[in-house]
Amino acid sequence: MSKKQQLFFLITITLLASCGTQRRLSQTVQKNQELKEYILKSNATLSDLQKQASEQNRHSIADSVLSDTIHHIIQKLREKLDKMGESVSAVELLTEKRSNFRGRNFYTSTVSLINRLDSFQTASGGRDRVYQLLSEAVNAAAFHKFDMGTFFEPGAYKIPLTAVDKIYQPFKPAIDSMMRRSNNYSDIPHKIYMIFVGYADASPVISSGPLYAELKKYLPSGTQPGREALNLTLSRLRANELQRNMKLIIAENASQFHNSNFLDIGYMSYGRGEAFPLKNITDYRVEDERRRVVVFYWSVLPVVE
Amino acid sequence: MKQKGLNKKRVNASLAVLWIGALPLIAFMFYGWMWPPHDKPEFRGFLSGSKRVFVDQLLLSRKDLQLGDRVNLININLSKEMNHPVEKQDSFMKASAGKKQVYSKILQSKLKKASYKQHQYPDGFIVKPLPLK
Repeated sequence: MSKKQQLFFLITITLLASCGTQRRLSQTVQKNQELKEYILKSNATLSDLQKQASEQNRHSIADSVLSDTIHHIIQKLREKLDKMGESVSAVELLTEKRSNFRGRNFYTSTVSLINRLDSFQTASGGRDRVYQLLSEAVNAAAFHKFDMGTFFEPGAYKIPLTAVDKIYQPFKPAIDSMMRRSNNYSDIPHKIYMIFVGYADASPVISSGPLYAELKKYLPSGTQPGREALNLTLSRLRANELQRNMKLIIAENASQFHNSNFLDIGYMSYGRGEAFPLKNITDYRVEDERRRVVVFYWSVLPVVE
Repeated sequence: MKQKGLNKKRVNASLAVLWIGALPLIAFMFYGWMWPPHDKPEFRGFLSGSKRVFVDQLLLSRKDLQLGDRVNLININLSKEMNHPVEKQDSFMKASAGKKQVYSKILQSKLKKASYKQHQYPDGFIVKPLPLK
């Protein structure tokens, strides 16, 4: 090979290598810019959702458990975005020096960060679906406080097995909505939350009656429980009873949920004793049917690892 | 012997008198057994259509008597009546007709409430829309 040919070969190789480096660099800059915009946009979306959720919680429309869960999910998504933001900043620094995209430097340090950006970008479809589901959940009226309540007669908390159908029929619209929402998001991991909040009025429980003896079983032994403690227990039992029946109903209709691999169902029940169930009602009485109620909330939320 | 015969006659007469007195009593008891008081027309009017109404549902509470927490007041009144039973008796008799009316009204409302509750919560609970007010 003549000297001319050798020179030509070297120039060609250098040019080709230079073109490759330039291509890598420009591609990375573009990718970085796109991701920066995406992170900004996502952060704004999450801020809006958090604001909405806080607003509903402040006005006591939403259940606090669901509200906390939503905040927790938003927090996790933010943390993920922040981590990615750090990677984006690191790559931005690397793009300032061409040598980082050349030869050995590129394969030892730069490529791993770029791969991270790539995988984040590839997963953006699923992430958008997560945001979509979260947005639907937050925008739903007070995280789906069901407009039907289960009212109990004074001192009662049991729901007979024969009366399950009397719950199923009025709760069917809520169950259908849950199924529809869950099936629409069968491509991403999600969880159905069902929350049962029990209440009791301020009627006294006669200490010689059977209800007193029954409620006392659930309280620490050796104590003389007061009216409030007894009513708190009664409210818990009411919530538990409705939850137990709802579990039976959902189990019977389980086949209607698609892709059970991505679906989790979480039940929760708690009692609020003599607290007032609805903030919009101001004329509650001591003995009041409107206070002997179990309020039901539901939501379908994404599962964020 | 003469004295013995006399005694026998007197005994038989006494027995006859006793039986004459006892028979209406037995008849009255039998009537009472066959037709207990709550089946009488004035009670039947209240109780018809109130199946499964228990006695404890018909017991009066302070609220029914509209006495609030003034239990002491009842005790004071009772002790007064105990101290002066004769003086109070006339006024009590006069007021008894009015009281009867009041109690029958309370009983009616109690029965109505008890029947309504059973109708409202056939299984101890009911699912219905949450109140707006």
